[in-house]
Amino acid sequence: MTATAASRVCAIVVTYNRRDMLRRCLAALAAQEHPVDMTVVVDNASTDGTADLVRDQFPDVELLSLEHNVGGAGGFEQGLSWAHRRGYEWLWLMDDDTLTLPSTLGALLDGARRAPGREPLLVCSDVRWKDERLHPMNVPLPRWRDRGHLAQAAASGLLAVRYATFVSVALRREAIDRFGLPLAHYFIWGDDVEFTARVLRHERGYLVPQSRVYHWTPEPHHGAGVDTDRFYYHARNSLQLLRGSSLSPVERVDYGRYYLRSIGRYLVVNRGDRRRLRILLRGLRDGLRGRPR
Amino acid sequence: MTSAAPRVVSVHDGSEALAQALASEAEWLWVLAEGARPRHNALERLVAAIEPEDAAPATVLAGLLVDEHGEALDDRIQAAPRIDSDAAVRLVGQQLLPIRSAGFAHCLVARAAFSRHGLPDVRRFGPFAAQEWTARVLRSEPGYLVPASVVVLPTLAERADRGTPLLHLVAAMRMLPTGTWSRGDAACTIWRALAGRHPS
Repeated sequence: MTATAASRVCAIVVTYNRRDMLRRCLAALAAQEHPVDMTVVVDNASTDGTADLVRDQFPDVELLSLEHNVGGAGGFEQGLSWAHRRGYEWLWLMDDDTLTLPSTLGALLDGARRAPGREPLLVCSDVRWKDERLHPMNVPLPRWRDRGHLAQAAASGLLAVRYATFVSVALRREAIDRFGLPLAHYFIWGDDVEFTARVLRHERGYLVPQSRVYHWTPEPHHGAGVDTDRFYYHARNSLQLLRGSSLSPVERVDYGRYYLRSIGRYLVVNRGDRRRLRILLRGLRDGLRGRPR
Repeated sequence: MTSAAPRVVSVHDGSEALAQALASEAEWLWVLAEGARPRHNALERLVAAIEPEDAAPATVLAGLLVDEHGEALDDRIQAAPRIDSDAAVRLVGQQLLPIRSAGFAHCLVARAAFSRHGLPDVRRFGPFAAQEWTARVLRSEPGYLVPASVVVLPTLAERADRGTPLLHLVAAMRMLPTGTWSRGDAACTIWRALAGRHPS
C-alpha cells in the first residue's frame, strides 16, 4: 500500500530504560495494517542497551539518542520537532509501554475521515489496561460543555474530546504549525494535557473507539501518584497549566478543584513527612514562577 | 399514534396528553414537542438503543434536536450528558452517550418509570418539569442520548423552555430540595445556571 501525502504517518515513541517493552512496541508498530511510513524512537539516554536493540533489530527505525534524560515532555518535543521538519502529515505519539493492535492506526485515520465538519487536528485511541478495563490514566476528557458537537460526533461513533494523553494520539502537522510544540520543561506529567488542551481549545479532536491500544503499566494507576517524590512535577506543572491559556476560565475552575483535591490527598498520605512537604512547597513555588504559556 | 415492537405510543408533551397515553397499553411513550418533525427512522433508532451492548437497558432515551438547516440546537434544550468519561468512552462506539437529564422535545420513556416516579410536576417546575422529572429518574436509572435519532424543532426563540439565565437559576434552586440531584450534581447545576447554562 502506498501512503498518500495526506496520510503519511510518523510514529514517535519515547523510551527510557524499558528495552523489552520497547521491543514489543516496535514489533506491534511494524505489524500495522495501515503501514507506518516512519517510526522514530526518542531514547532518553537509556543505559540498558536500548540503542543497540533499535540498531540491531529494527534497522528501519530512526533513532534519536539524547545525551540526557529530558523526560517524556522533552522526548515528545524532540520527536515531534523531528517528524514535523520532515513533512509527515500525521504524527502518532506513544510511550514505549504502549501496545498497538494491527488495526489501531487504520481505525484512527478512518475516525479522522468520518469526523463531522472540519477536519480534526487530533484523534486518539481507546486506551485499555492489560485486563481490558479503561486505563484510568488515559481516559480523555469529553467536550461536555458543547452538547451539540458532542452529540454530532457521537452520531459518527466518535467522542469529541477536550484533551488527551500521549498514549496513541495522532496529531495533524497543522497542529504544530499553529500551536507549537509540547513544553519540554514540564519533564513529566501534565505535558500532554497542557499541549492537547492548547490545540483543542478552539479546534476539534476525537477519541476513536474502534482504535484500541494497551498501556502496559505495572498497575492501572492514575498519573499523579501522591506517594512519590515525583508529585513535585504534578504540583508545579498543574499550577502552570492553570496559569496558562490552554484552559478556559470555567475549565480552570474544574481543573483547580481536581488539583486541590490531589494536594489534599498528598498531604494526608504524607502527614508528618517534612521532606515530602518541602517537595510540595517547591512545586508550588516553581509553578508560580515565570510566565506560563 | 405510532406503534412498533416493543409497543410505543407517541404523545405531545403536556400533562393531560401524558395521562391519556399512560392509560394505553404501550410499554414506551415517545414524547415530542409541539411542532417537532421527526426525521426518517427517528423512532426506530431510539427503539434500537433500548438495550445497548454491555450496558444496562435504558429507562429514558433522547434524540438530537436540530433546526431546519440540520444544525444542532442550543445546548440549553439538548439532553444533558452524564459526566462520566468512562461510560462515554464505552458507549460511543454504539453511537450512544449516557445522559443525566433531558427535555420532552424528543424522548422515549419507559411507561414503568411513570409508575415509579409519578408525572412531571408542571405546577412546581413549569417549563422545566420534564428536565426535573428526567433528572430525578436518571439519578438512579440509565438513560442514553441517541444522536442518530433526529427531530427538527422550531427555532429556539419560539420555545417556551428556552428561558433566561435567571429563570434557569430559579428552576435549579427549586429542584435542589427535591432529591433530583446528588450533592455533586447540585453543585454543578447551580454553577451552570449561574454561568447561564441549562439547569441540567
